[in-house]
Formats: sequence, structure tokens, C-alpha cells
Amino acid sequence: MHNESTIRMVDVAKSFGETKALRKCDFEAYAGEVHAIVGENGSGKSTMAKIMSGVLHPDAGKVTILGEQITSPVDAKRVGLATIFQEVLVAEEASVFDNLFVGRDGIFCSEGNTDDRWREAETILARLVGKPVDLNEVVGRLPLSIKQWIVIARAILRRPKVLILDESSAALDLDSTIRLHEEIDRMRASGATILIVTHRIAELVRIADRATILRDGVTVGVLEKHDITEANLLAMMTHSDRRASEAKDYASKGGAGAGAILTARNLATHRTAAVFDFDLPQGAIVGVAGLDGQGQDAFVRAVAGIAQPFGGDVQVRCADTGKMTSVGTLDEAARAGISYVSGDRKREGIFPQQSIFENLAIGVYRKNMGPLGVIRKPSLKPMFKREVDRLRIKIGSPSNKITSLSGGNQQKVLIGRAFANDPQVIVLNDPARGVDLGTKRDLYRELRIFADKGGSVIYLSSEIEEFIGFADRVDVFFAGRLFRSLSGGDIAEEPILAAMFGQSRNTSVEFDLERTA
Amino acid sequence: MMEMLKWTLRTLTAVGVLTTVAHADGVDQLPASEQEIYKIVDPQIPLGASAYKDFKPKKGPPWKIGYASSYAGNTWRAAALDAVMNDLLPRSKKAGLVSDVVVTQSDLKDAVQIQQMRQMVDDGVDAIIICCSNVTALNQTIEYAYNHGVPVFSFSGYVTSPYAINGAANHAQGGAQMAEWLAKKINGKGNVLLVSGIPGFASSDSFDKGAKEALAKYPDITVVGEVAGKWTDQVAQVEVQKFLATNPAQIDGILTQGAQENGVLNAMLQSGRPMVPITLGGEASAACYWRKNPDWVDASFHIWPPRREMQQMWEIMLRTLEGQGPKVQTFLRPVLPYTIEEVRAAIPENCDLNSTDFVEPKADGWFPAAVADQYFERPADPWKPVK
Amino acid sequence: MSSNAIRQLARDRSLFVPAGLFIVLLAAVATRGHGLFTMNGIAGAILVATPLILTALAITPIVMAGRGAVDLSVGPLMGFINVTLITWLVGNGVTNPVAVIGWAIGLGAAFQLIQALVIIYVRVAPIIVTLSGFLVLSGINLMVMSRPGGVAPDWMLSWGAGTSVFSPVLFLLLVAYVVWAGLRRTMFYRNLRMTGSDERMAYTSGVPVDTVRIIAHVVGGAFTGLAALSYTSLISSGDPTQGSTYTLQAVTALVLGGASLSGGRGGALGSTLGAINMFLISYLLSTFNFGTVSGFVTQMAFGLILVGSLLVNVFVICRRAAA
Repeated sequence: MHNESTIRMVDVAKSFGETKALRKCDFEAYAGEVHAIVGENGSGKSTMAKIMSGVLHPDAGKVTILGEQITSPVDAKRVGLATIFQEVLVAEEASVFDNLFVGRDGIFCSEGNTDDRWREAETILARLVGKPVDLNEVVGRLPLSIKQWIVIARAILRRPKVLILDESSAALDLDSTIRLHEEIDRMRASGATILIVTHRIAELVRIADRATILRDGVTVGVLEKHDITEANLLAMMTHSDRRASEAKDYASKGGAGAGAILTARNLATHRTAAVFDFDLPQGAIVGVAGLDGQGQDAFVRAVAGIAQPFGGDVQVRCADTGKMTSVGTLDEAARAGISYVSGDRKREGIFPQQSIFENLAIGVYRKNMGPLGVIRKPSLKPMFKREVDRLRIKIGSPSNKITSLSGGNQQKVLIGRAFANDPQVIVLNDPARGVDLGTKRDLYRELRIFADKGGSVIYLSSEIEEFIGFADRVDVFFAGRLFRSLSGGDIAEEPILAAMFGQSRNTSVEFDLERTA
Repeated sequence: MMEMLKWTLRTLTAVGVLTTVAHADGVDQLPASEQEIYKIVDPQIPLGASAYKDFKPKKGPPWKIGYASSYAGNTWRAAALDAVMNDLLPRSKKAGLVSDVVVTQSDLKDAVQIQQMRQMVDDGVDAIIICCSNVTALNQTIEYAYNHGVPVFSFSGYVTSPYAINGAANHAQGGAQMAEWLAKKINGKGNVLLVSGIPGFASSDSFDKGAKEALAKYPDITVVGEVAGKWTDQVAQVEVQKFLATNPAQIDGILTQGAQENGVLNAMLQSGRPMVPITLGGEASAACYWRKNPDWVDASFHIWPPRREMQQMWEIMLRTLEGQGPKVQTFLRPVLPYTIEEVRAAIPENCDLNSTDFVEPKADGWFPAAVADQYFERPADPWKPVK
Repeated sequence: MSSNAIRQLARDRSLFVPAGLFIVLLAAVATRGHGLFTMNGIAGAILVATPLILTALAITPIVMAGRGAVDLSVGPLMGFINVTLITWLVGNGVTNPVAVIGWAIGLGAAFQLIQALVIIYVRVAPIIVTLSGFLVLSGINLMVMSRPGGVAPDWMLSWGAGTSVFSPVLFLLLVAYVVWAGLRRTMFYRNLRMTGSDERMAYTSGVPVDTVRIIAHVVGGAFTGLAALSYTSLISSGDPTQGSTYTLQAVTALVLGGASLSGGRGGALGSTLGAINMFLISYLLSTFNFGTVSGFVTQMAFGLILVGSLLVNVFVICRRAAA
């Protein structure tokens, strides 16, 4: 029943340094089908798309596209493959027309008639956007949604035999998604292969003919059209074996304290996202989850005062007076007793040239300044020792550079820095990224002790199992806003995952309209 | 690489041969006493007959003069400009000879200097003075000026254009003379340190060339080192300090170019070594030290006195504009030795050891009218007021 | 070309500031006298400004190729071509115009080809590569010719007279524009802008970005050869050190012309306007007689005008990006 095979991947592996993005990936797609590639965060979907496009080269295995080996995007263009990447890649300084036809020609010679191209581009772009677009306009002056359409139109205008869409509908609203699906249907009818890499289960259930599921860089199965259901997909994407081995119990023994210590009202994570409210009870650990780019990262940064939200107000209860005060800047957040720990240690955490001591104590220098701004170092020593012992940080001399420590211990130093400020609220942005199990457990234990003493924790993680047996509540983000709060028995892998994929509570297969509310 | 060097050498010699041939015409017309000055000379300096023997200005007097300086950042240039604005110009105005002076500076950019000179010609100046510029780059522009009846005068440094008139001390001979003095002072034997100016600049290279040739005549004198002082006291001081700190060998004398000797002197004082003879080139600061230690040396030299060199050029310019007909393309002056008596007359007893001024020859001492007359076909007093 | 230029002017607001400054400066110069608006004045302006215009044009395609690739070596490269032309060719009796012009353009292109290959295949940041080129060539120039000297070939001597508007120097400039206009009509120009704007986008869209970068450098090198010819005819001799001063001036002209040092934006028109504006500023200042303080005043005024127009430029461009 299948047409000819257009893409074949056999035993493909790809590593980035220590990280194995793909371990063993087998894949096949045929002409005239819409084929979805599905998986959790970090399961290797995007890597796979990039290898097919010739942007990345596999470490092992064999990739054949339309019967040829692809080694560069120029090759891919030659055989008739076009890719729409996750990022909106446009030349801001150039015109819409130039952006649509970039890479279509030789170095010096144009391979098409400009007038024909102009008409064709106007037609297709108008069909996609829903209204005409001036092809002379400089792209930098257009809104993001049009830029997204330009990237999509660029691929479609090539009339590719194979089209790869890597999360490319993320910035589109519902109407747009429907128009995109119509375009995909049209291409399928003309015999093209369309690969969709996506997080949106509802979307792929509707449109995909087949689906390949990836887990930890391994293809774990292929579903045919009639088997593509939410339940099947979720079952194949999750790790039923992993839950047992990592069972832990740092859940709250008592109830959370009375009253919210931090509230957010009418918060918007980006310009077009719907607004939402958020409350952080005193003494609670609230988990924050979501697929990549669903607004959860912007949310924790806004709460910590690192970045400004697009709208709304964050208030924190003042420790002395008990009154709620607005927090808008990093400085206000620090004064209100909010500490922030980033999992992106290299960019937002450590000072690589400085010592362990400096790295831990830097946040409290201001509180320990003597006359003329001289830092009273001796007074900081007990604090340093207390934090090192408490977090069981394995260090040599405090004056060693922080880069002499392992990643896990560096993370502990950063958490020690947060604790050293005696905060009311600690906001952690994926702190356990690349950290071993022992360190994680030390971290969960200390955070629970902190919460039991009346502190509050916001804990963002990209690994669902981190919340289980630890968080009092899990707030799942979807489409830029708080989508669902889970607590009690709902803090389990499947309900969280379902919420992350934007599923309504009673697992319906309908396309999710609520999202665009 | 060898091939490249050979090529370079060949071109340089070719240029050298050209100037020797040109020598015959102009200088031979000078009296024998003046021809002496041209004996030791940098081969690149043009010594032909002047193109302005029968020159008549377009109009005037009074004339409008352009001064296109290539740089304005050190005390020497400031002193030269000061001589124009506060001495030569007022006197010329009074005599009705000059109406105005236009000053530009090009920050060592040849293209800018070319543009400024062309602009002066187009705006109708009657003569242009340039200072110590690139020896070849301005030649086309000088020809452009010549074709528009505007003579160009280059002071304290030459240009190779046949349409320019150069005026300066004979720096090669000056180097030889100062080296000669130093060699005699240390009784013809010992170790000598050479402090050059800016290697690659015409007057600096001319000086070094003459100095080295003179020292070579004394087999017992060894040149133990060569540093560049860049005609700036501070640079010279640091360079000499570095040399003294890393070379424990005895130094019996230091041969330095002018306008930087005070830095050399300070470096010696700081080193704690016994003072040795140092060649002096007219800085008031070093002269002050000499005044307080009269036994140190017995002579000093006017090698490039800014005000007098400017005055020399100014007078040559006035004479040329007056139609006196210069005989030669390049006016060279001998380096003048002077004694402590002249220093005593020039600066007071409580003089300043950090002065930025220069001890200069008397107004008529550098280029006396009687000597100047011999350089012109139809000599007359250049300062004679216009009726 | 002309309709293109008009469209570019109307669309690209980055040309507003240089064009506005050009008009203001021209008016200011006119009020100070008519020296510039005579046959000799214009001829002289072309003669003096051409090396700067051509060096600014030479770095334009290289800057447009992105990666912050400001070509610092352009000045010393021009000097290198100048001194080798005088010493190696003319010094050995080779004065054939074809040989001399071929040498200048070929040497410039060859040097830039080497730089491009190092940037692409050794993967060193362009600024480091071209800085090394600057330093190495500055040294080599002094080895080839230790001090200014030599003489240009006979047929070139008349080029530097600057008494006719329609001089061979103007012809050099026109050659550069014709080449540029030709390139603009090809896909190369689009590919170049795309590569400079967003190299990742261009690469993933199938633009051969490495080839584009190599060609940008070679074109820049050929323009540097033209610049060296115009410079040699300006000074009619060889000079080992002056070339280096052109690097900073060319970069300033480029920025004044509204190009973005991060790539993607820029063009011959902008760079030309920038270079002409620098010439006009210098010309305007030379019409004032600042007397004994002239050194400080002219430098300060030059700096102030530059900073002022750069600020306006940045301000206008930022406003546009925010709009």
C-alpha cells in the first residue's frame, strides 16, 4: 500500500560532546504521506530533522533522501528537500521577496523569471497569511506571525518532494494552523512527503498518516493512522520503567501555611499570550512544567525579576510588615527576599574565573560591608562553612576556582548562594539539568527543609519525574499561559504530560479549541 | 626575501645616482665658502638649480601666505608656528609685504595635506610653506602649485620635487660634526651610545648617516648600542634607561640627535653612573644643566632651531617673491657650535631644568643677510618696506 | 542602476543621514568660497578623495558578508600594492600599463583570497585575521621600502596632476562602480546580503555561504587594487606607512555611509557618500584659519562632526528597528 520510499535512516547516532542526542534511530517515510515525529523534550526530534536537512552530520548510520546521501543544505536543495526550522530564520534587513527566494539560485545567475516568481509568491503568501503582503516591505518591520509565514512560504515555494516542519506552527494561531493544514493536504495530494516534528498531539492526530515515536534518542515505534491516538502516543513516549527506580519521598508532611506569599495577577508571558493568575502559598513547593517555549521560562524569570513580563503585576508579602508590595525589577525582587537559581550555569550562574568562596558569597557582600565599602570577609566564613556542610558540597580549598568542581557541585554552590541570602522565596529554573541523582536528592531534601521552615519554592523542571514525590502542586504551562494546576494524585507522569500537550482533562481527541481562548 | 632586498637596494641607488648628476648645476654657482656646506650631504636631497631664478609673483605685495603643516603635536612645531604668528607675520605686515597667513595641519595624513595645499592654491595664496613632510608624496601637488604661479617652500626637511625650494640645516654634516666633537672629547677611544630620532624620517636618517661615517674614522671607538628617542624627551629617557639597565658595560659618551637630549641626560642622572659627555642640540633644559655644571662639556650645537629655521625659510620666501632669483633648489645651513658664554647670555642663572623652550642663534646668526645675498641672483634687503 | 539607486534611497532610510549630511556640507563649503566648484577644484577633489572612496568600497562587500568582518588590512594592503608596484615593478623597469594594473588588482584579490580561506577554513574570527593582515603588511611594507621614495611610471605621472575632471583617476572610480553595478544585477548581491543578514538562515536555505564570502573578499581585494592605483597616482611615488592611515578612515566612511558593521546592510552608494562627506568635512575645516591653535581645533571639530553624524545615524536606525 505504501508508495516509494523517500527518506530512510538506518542506525543513526549523533552526540554533542557528552550528550547523546540520538542513539539508534531508524526511520522511513514514503511519498504522499504526512509523517509525524513525536517525543518528549530532548528525545532527539530536532536533531533528526537537522540530519535529514544536511545541517548536521550523523556520527554513525546511514541517511538516504530520495535515493541520495545529503551532506549540506545545498545538497538538500538539489534533491528537492526543504525544511522549516524551529527558529524563525529571516534576514531582517532584506525585502520579503528576497527572503522568500533566498538560496534558490546559483551564486551569480538567477534560475527563474522574476515576474513569474513575484506573481507566484504573491499568490501563495496571500493564501497562507489570509491577506496580501507587500513583497517589497523590509522583513524587519513585519510582525512575528508574518515572519513565520515567510519562512513557511519559502519552503512551499520550492515545491519540495520532501518538506520537514520542525515545530514550525508554534507561533501560529488557530486560523493560521488550519490554513497550514490545508496547504499540507494540498502537497500530500501532489505526492510529496511531509514530516511534522511537533509537540501538539491534537494536531498530529488530526493530520498525520503515520507517526514515529522517539524516546531518549531511540525510535521506539511507528503508529499507523488508525493507531494514532493520544493514549497510544503517551504510552510510548513515557518511561514506565523509570518511575520505580527513582521513587522518592520529599512530599510535604504537613499542610502549606496560610496565605499566599507571592501573587501574580493578569500576567502575560509574551505579547500575544492570554493572561493568567498565579498564587504561591507560604511553605509550599510549586513545580512548573511545560514543553519547550510554552511560557514557563518567561514566567519564572518574571517572578524572579530577571525579565519583565509583557503585562500584569507580581506582588510579594513583605517579611516585616506583612503588606504586599509590587516587584518589577531584579533589585526589588532581591529586597523582597526572592532568590533565583538558574540551571544554565554557564550563562546565568557561575563566575568561572572566581573562587568557590567568591561564587557562594557574592550575593551577600552588600549586607556585609563595613565602612567605605570594605567587605568583612571573616564574618562570611561561618556562613560559607554552614552552606558547604548543609549541601554536602565536595570542595578542596574554598579559594579554588569554581570550575574545578563537577557540574553537580557547581550547582550546589549556586543553591548555597541563594540560601545565603535568607530568602523568603527561592525560584529555581531547571536546576537539576545535568546533575547526578545524589545531588538531586540533597537538593530536594534541603528545599523541603526550607519549605517546612516557612520558605516557598518555585521549581521549574524539564523532567516530569522530578515533581513526583516532591512538589505540593505542579503548574503546567501551555501556549504561553498557566494551563492547569495539578495536585495530590494528579502529580503523576501521565496527567502532567497530557497537560503539557494541551489535552483537555477528559482525554478528548478533538482538536483543542480552548487553547486559543 | 633576498631578491626583495636586492630590488629595494637597486631602486635606492638609482635615486641616489640621479641626485648626484643634478648636483652640478645649482651649487656650483655658490661661493667656495658656501659650497663647503654641501660636501657631506644626504644623496636623496636635490641640489639642482632653482626653478624660480626668473620668477615673478602673480600680484602683490602684499602677499597671502599658506602654511600647510603636517603635524601640530610637539613643542618644536609649536615654536616654529609661534615664530610665524608672533614675529614674522607682524613684521611683514608692518612692512606691507604680507597681508595674511593661512594655517592648516594634516595630522600626518598626506592626502589631507595634498587637499589643503591644492585648496590654498585655488583660494589664491601667493606662496606655500610646508614643514618636514613626506619627501615624495607632495611632488604632484607642488607641480600643480608651480603651474599656478605659487612657489612651495619646504623648511627643516626636503622634498624631491624640482619645483620646491628647500631650506634646512645640513643634517648629515651636523651628525658628522657632533660625532667629531664627541670623539675628540673622549680622546678618540671608548664606548659610544647612539640615540637616533625617528628611523625612516629624512632628517633622522641623514643625521645618523653622517654621524656613523665620522665615528668610523676612529678605530678605537665602539658603538655599543643604538636606540630611537623619537625627538621626544620622555621617549628618549625611557629608551636610554632601558639600555643602561640591561647593558652594564661602561659608556664613555652619548651621541644623540637634537630635541631629545634632556631625556638622555635625565636617564644618565637617574642611572647613578658618572656623567659622560652628551651631544647637546639646543634644548633650553639641558642647556640649563650645562650652565650649572660648566665643566661638563665645552660645546653645543644649533642643529634644528625651530624659530631660526622658520625665519630662514620666511626670508627666502620673501626674497623669491620679490624676484631676487634663488640660485639653488636647496639652501643648507651648517650646524653652528655655541659655547657656554652664549648659554649664559640666553638663559638666566636660576633657569628651569624642565623648560620646553630652545636656545636659538641670534636673529641674524643663523642665516645672515650677507650670506643670504650670495644665494640670489639679484640680492636686496628682503624686509625693505613697500612704498 | 539609476532607478535602482533611487529605489534604494527611497526605501533604505540608512541613506537619509549621509545624504542629508552631504547636502549640508556642500552648502557649508559653498558659503566659504567657490574654490571647490571650479574645474580645478572638482578635479582635485576627485584626485584626493578617490583613494578613500575606493578603500571604503573595498571593505563594503566584506563587511556586508557579516560575522563582524571589518577588513582592517585594507589600508596596509593598499600600501603594500603601492610599494611593491614602485619597488618591484617600476624599480626593475616594468612599466607596461597592463602589467602594472594587472599586478595591482591581482595582488589585492590574491591577498584577500588568502584571508578569506583562513577565515573560512581555519575558523578564526575575521577581525583577528584581518588585524594580523594589518600588522604583517605594515611590517612588510617597511621591508620593501624603508622610507618614502621612488617614482611612479611615466604614463601615470599625469594622472596625479588633478587639472581635469575627466582624468584616469575618475575612470578608476567608474570602473569600480560599473563592476559593482554589474554585481548588483547578479544573484551574488542578494546572496551576499542574505549571508550577511543571517548566515544560519542563508546556510540552511541552501546559499553556498563560503563561496559567497570568498567572492566578497576577492571583489574587495580587486577594489583595493584600484584604490592603490589611485593612491599611487595621487602621490606619484611609494610610501610604506601612509597606507595604514586609510584603514580607520575607510571604516569611518563606511559607518558614516550607514552600513552596519554586523553585516547585511550597506552598499556602494552609502560608502561613497560616507567617504565624500569625510573629504568635505576636511575641506570645510581647511577653509577656516584657526591660527596657532589650528591643530587642536581641526582635530576636535573633525571628531565632533563624526561623532554627531554617527549618533544621528544610530538614532535613526534604532528608531527604525523599533518601529
